Amino acid sequence: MIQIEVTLNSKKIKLKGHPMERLLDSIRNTGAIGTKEGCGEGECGACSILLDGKLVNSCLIPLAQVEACEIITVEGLAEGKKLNSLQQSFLQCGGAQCGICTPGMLIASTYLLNKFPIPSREEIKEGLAGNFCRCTGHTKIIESIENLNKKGCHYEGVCSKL
Amino acid sequence: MKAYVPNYNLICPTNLNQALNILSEKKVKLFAGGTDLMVLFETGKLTEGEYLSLHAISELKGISENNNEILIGSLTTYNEIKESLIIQNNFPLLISAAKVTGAIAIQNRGTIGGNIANASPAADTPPALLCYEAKITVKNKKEERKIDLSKFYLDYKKLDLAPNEIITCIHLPKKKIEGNEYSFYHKVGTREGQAISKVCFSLRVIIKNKIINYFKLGLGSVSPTTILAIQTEKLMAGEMLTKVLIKKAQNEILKDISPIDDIRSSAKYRKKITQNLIGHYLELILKENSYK
Repeated sequence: MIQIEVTLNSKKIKLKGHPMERLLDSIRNTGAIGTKEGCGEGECGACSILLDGKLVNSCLIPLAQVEACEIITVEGLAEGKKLNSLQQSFLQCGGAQCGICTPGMLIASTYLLNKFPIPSREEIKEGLAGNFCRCTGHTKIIESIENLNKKGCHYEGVCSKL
Repeated sequence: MKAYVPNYNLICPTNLNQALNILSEKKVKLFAGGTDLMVLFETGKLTEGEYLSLHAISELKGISENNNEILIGSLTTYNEIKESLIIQNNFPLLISAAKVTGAIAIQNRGTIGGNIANASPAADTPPALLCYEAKITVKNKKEERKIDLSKFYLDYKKLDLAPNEIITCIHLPKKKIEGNEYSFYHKVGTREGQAISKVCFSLRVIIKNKIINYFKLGLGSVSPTTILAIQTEKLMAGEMLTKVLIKKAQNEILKDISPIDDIRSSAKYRKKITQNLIGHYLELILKENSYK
């Protein structure tokens, strides 16, 4: 067993577990269960998180490799109970249905918007190519991101280490 | 989770010396970005035992250059390769390969050294690296050696790598060959993101005065390892590119490849598609050169 310190959604916490424990499980064990498990093999993107500002699949990362890292999950996007503009846009455009892929979609979109504040449709498609939705369809999700552009909305990134 | 977790361990040294010392003292297996090994772990197929994480070793990361070559640290991620100007300007096939490996979350974590050492016949970067005559440095506690990537793969999942050695660096020579350079990277898969290839095709041809001055064709998913099409290269080098030669190349390629039927595709399809890709891209080059 090891114990390491990480910053999870701006809070310094200690994670304890087996060195090979999947970061996905370590995060969910803290009670932050927004991050979901889909395929468990890095294909579907449901477990997407930002690790030191980089989009990664938390199911593919062993606990021992994240010492002193900054982690942002879907819980880190809203300010208190106020959804951020990206989340609101998903609500308005019907970008969420059953909800399993949504946390991953939001995190992947956040990474995309940090890199390309006004992404083209192609950039959105490439940015979300590792995130699968099996119910509402990808069109509404893409539109949720495009909707931010249309409104001329200013999007503020959430990760300090970018 | 199908693995029995207590039967595994992961040690995380923070510099290369520590890692090489551990590797010389006990039986551990290497673990880089984890994008392949964690999948096996999850499904209970990862060999039990102790693993050595290379992730925290900064000496193995980053891209640099000297007079003769570009050096890519083995722990450099696909994303770092994609964003490197030196690579973008000199090695476009490698950029294309990095772009089609997994999707962004994989590209942020997967490493080029891991892609080489995992030795999948379907690996995306080796076909591109082979077209640039890449070499790799492998190190153990006492010494290091530099070998051609084309000689590194011995057979299916078999490498010229001792249990106490680590791939530390990938070298791309800056060699300039006279003529017009054409390069094409084409991954045939079920979708653009995330797919593992049915055929991976990486072609680099340099034409001078209508003569093929240089010909390298790297292929994945059509033999037990990623390969260079040596027979086809012999046929093409020094010849004038013509329709007849293209037809000959399409037949010759069958001597280089030995595809199998598997979950992703069939041997028959793989042969046909490889022939078609060669025909298609060589004809593009021919068209480009027939007006000059």
